[in-house]
Amino acid sequence: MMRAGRFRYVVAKSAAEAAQALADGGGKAMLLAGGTDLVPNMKRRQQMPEIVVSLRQVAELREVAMNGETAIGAGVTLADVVRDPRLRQHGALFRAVAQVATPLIRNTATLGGNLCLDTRCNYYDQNYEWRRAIDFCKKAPGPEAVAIDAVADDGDGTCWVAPSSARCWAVSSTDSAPALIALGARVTLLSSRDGAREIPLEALFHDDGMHYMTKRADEVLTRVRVPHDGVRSTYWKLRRRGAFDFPALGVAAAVRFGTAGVVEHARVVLGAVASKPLLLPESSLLVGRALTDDAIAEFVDATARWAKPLDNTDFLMTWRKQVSKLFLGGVLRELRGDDVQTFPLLARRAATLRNPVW
Amino acid sequence: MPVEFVLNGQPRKIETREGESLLDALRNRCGIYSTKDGCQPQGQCGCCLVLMNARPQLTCCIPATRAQGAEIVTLEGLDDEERKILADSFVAAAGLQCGFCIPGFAMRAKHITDQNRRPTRDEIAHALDVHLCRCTGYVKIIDAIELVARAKRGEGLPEPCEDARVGARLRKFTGSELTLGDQKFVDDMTLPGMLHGALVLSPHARAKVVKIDVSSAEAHSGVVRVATAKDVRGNRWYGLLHNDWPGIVAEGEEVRCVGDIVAVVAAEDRATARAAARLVAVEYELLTPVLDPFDAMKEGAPQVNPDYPNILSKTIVKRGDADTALTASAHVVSGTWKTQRIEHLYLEPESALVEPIENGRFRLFSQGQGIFDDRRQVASFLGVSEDAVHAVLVPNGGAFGGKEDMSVQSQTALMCQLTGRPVKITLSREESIRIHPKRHPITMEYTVGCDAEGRLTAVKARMVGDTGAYASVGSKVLERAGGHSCGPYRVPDVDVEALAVATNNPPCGAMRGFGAPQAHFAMDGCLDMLAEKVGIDGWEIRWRNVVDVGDLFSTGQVFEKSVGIRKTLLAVRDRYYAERAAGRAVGIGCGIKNSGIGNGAKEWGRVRLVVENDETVSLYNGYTEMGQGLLTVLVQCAVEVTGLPHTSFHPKVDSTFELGCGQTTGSRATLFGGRAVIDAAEKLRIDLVVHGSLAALSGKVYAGEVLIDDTTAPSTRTDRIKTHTAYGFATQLCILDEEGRLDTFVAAHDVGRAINPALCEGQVEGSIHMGLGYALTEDLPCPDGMPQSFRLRDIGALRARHMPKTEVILVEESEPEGPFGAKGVGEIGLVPTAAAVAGALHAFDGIRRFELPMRESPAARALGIGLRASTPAREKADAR
Amino acid sequence: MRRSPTNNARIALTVNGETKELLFAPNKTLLEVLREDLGLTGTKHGCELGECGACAVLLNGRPVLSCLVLALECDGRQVETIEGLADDARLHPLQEAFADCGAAQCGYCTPGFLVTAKALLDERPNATRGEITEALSGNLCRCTGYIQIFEAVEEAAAKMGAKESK
Repeated sequence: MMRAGRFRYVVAKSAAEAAQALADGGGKAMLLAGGTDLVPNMKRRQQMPEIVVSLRQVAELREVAMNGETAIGAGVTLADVVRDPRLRQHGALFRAVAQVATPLIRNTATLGGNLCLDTRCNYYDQNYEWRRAIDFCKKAPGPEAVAIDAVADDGDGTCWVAPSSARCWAVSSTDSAPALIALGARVTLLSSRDGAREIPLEALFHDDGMHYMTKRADEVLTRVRVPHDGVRSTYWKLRRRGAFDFPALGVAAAVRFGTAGVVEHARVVLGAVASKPLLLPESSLLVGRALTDDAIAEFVDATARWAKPLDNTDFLMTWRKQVSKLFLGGVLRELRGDDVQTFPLLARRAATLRNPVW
Repeated sequence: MPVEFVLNGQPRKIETREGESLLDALRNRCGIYSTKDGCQPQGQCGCCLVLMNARPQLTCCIPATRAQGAEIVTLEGLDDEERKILADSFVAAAGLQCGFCIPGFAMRAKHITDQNRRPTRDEIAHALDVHLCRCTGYVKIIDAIELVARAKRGEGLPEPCEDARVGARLRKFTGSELTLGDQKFVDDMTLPGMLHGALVLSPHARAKVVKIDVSSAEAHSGVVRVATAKDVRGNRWYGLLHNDWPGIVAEGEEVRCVGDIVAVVAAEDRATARAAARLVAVEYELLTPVLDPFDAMKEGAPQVNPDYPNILSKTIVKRGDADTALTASAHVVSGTWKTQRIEHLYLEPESALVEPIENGRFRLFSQGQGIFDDRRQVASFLGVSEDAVHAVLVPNGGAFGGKEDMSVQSQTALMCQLTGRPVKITLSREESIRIHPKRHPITMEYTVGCDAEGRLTAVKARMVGDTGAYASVGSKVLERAGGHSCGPYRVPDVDVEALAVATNNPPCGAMRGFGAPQAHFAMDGCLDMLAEKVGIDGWEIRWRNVVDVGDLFSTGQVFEKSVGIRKTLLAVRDRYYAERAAGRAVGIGCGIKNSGIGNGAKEWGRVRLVVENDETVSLYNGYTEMGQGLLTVLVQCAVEVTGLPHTSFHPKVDSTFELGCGQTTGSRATLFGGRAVIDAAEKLRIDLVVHGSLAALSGKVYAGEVLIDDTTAPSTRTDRIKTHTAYGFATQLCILDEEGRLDTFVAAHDVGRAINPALCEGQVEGSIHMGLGYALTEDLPCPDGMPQSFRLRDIGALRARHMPKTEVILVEESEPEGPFGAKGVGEIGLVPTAAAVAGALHAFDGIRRFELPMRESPAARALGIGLRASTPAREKADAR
Repeated sequence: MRRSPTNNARIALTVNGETKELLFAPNKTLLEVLREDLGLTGTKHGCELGECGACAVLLNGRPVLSCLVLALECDGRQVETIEGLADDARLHPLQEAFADCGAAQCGYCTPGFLVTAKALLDERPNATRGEITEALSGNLCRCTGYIQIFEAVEEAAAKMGAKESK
């Protein structure tokens, strides 16, 4: 039986209290929202916070407001995102969240938690004994170090994915982040030191498996704002099973079409192929022209270089890279209105979402 | 070391040498030949299976001492009833072809059915996991094991078919003997005073032989003779088309590949010969090998073979103006397709046995694909007349084109000539892989156009094949690739160039399909890409383009008859659309394959029917039985004409009569051999009518001769091109499951006429098995010119449990130039396969695949065999 | 107040309608407290990492994985476990249907399926096969192949619907 390590438990009554508790913890405190990421990590000793700051009584984090834009509290559960009919207009968000893990997990996991999801790797997401047998790894370098955000030392441990590399290559595995980045979402970070600051969601992430967020250890992610800008959006996820699995690849796209199908605005994001979600700069190349076959092919050719999956998650990495091309083209075809039934089976499956209950 | 065990109920005590395998002990010391050596000491083919203490045990990978005190049962030791059930089941189901692997399967069948009287097909397939069969595709083997189980349940004995008319599923000639391991292959034969030979091979792809020191080997106890190039009295070089292949490389000469032979040892036993061969000290001066055909074509590249430039041959197929037609096309696609080197992996490694006979002559027991070519080349090597060599075919344990070139026949004959004693040389699996020619890796640049409706306008293709160190039939393989470059499709303008380029890699030569599978992989790939552009499906674009009577083959030959491709497409149409409608990923490929080598070659069918004094008829012919069932089919032709029972005919292949037909190749043995049988049998039939019985005809010889000399050499100026005598056609569907794994394979084949439908299906099923390996898992990379691995699992041939459900549909579009309307079916089974798989994978994951094997595809990954795809992380890990 | 060094967390928890005061080690999950401190062993340990669904319970009416929820987080909340499913001696229609349809083989995953299915039918009494499949997609079963489970949920839904319409 795996039991979490010992910790001090603090219940915050407000976001400000939570921020204060983090500041007081001096890097040894972590936030507990749904717990579906932190608790297993604590059981496997991947993360060993001394102080756990519970957010369950912070009501302000569980609010959803529509006021010319959508504002979602970070503590809203994924199941509530799925249930809320008002949120369905954000197709990519709905499809991404509805495909996270399983209904049982979505009932506790929160949107903020999924955005801050720990990066994943075959050499990291293992129990303590397994990792000890390979002499641990860079991201969780053994019993002395505590691999939470606060650990700043890059020197210890070997990255078994790329042993000569100075960095960690664990994979960003959040489904909601690529979707929300495509939708142009901004997130609010609150700290007792600086108060609230709001940044574009893509700026929340670093391309580094260990330090994968720009959020400081004393900051609380409180809110996600999504503009209402008339985009059509979607999210495709590659995984082995129809439930449970983290993405082996995720592609989100949001496009606004003007007259005669000319693209006015486009954001395409790749997930699970790097340590952060990748907002593709070539998205702008789509603007000002119709989404013709040629335009899509050019875009796919130009963006294929971004997907650099490594051999540290499910499926063969070379195949994942090839599938990223299928998905990059596929999301655009879906958004321009192609019949998804004519797509290759894998794309057909990715474009077809079974109606989720929770 | 003494070992005592109970063998088939009898206590045995034998003396074994250190490290001797149980298989060697059984074969060499106990006279048990049902256990075969397919891959010793790998334990990966299953041919050597016995029951040891009632459990299945491979014997090649354990020392004989492990049998101490054990009870061992082989097929020889089973009771007559069980032997009959096993033999009849495999024969009734046509669950064997060459039969080399079958005793192992039969032993396994006994064990499976002893354990479980009602095994499912899936359970059987999994239980067969240590076994390899390269001929059958396992379908009919599993059928056979189901029959064994049924018989043991008491629900009815298997009944091999005795109907021998054309169109009947007559039981395979010598099928029972093969199943039980009683039929001897060359390595199962021994002669009094027989010596064993061993070869010394070059470990280098290119080097100068500075010095060969055989003194230590000669001094080794038990060694009778060590031979080098100096001992060869005749012409040291042989070859099917060029005499460029040295049987033994001399001091001062170059070795050109890792299969080159520098010395031969003959000793009292095989182990001694091999030990002595390791004592031959060869000093080499290393030279930089040419390993890439594109490098070989560069200015200043070392010339691989002094007899010809590195571009061994250039085939040009040109009709009309492809460039202009492409410019005017509504849609054009292009790409570069690459295929890999493939090992034939017949289960029986090469073996030859030569004995001295009267008047200074030699008797050669060969398992080659053309014993008259063997005789010619051996005689030349020995420096004797062809009369001095009597060649006898010992039907082989699989060939697939890999036993056309000489392997050990000449060296074996030489040692016999030098020692005056019978000599046998049998290759190990590793030596076999190093020596015999492979399937060509070909790089193909294609550009193909079509009009707005998807009708093809032009094909432009450039092919470069790596033909390796010796010419073999490489120029012909690329000629065939060029000839089949347009597949079975109507193409108005054609511009194709196919080069065979020499390198220091293992030679490439004939292998089932002979250039056509490569070309089809590219051409059908283009068709799928065009279909997408036009907005129609894979079936439809093929339907709009396949050839009909009156259309042209790529070379310009007008198809005048027996074009069944449209019928094969119709045969799969409903299935194709039903599977797609069910949401499954389906791929489709069409194929054409010549029957008869044509291209201006003279080809023969030659037969003698000799009425013996026991009222039987010996049926002599010049083509080789290698599992395909030729001898059974020839008997059926004779039965159909004469009305005699099939048991009256005894097929024989040797050089008693001058029946040289060249190689058993190009899907032509049934086509021409069958016609020759009809020719001879007609004469016999008339005599039977006149004289009433065979007894009255004792001693009479009836000749059947067919000469084909009406085909057209490439580039010949003529107003009537006839490239090949006949063509087979096929359409295949590959259907994947929802994870992208192989699920079902459907093959519709126009075979002209199925003389024996069971054997005919077997050819197709076995080809599909080989084609799926070609598509997904098989490869033989040769870094530095040496195969990277000799392990059978790395080579990647599919096992029983890897096979999808396989459905064969035979379509009969009668061939007027074939016997009873038949045409050859030996090769075409794998011609469209890779393209069908590639199409299905594209339907699954949208990825176009241009390179074989498609080892990174979900379908291949699910099989878990073959060399693993290399990844940067793994390379780094390996480097550590 | 004296605190034992190991049992230093105290919460009030309503389990199957009965409110309990509990003292336990703070690093325990809800699953561990249910099984070890309350003796409710109907909820199973499967993987302890959120990958199987064997530990599903209803928390404030929603099916969640008790192995991923710290017991501390449940202060003042309502938990319903498999033990609370039957109404005294009368089995829940889902339990009857599971038994009738052969939806349980080894039975280890069954409590998780039952409480998840109950939550589904509480919310959607006329759940379609597609909704049932989706709702149960977080529960692994290694024995049945799921078909009988889906059929059992459908049968229970039909029975419950019939009862209500009477």
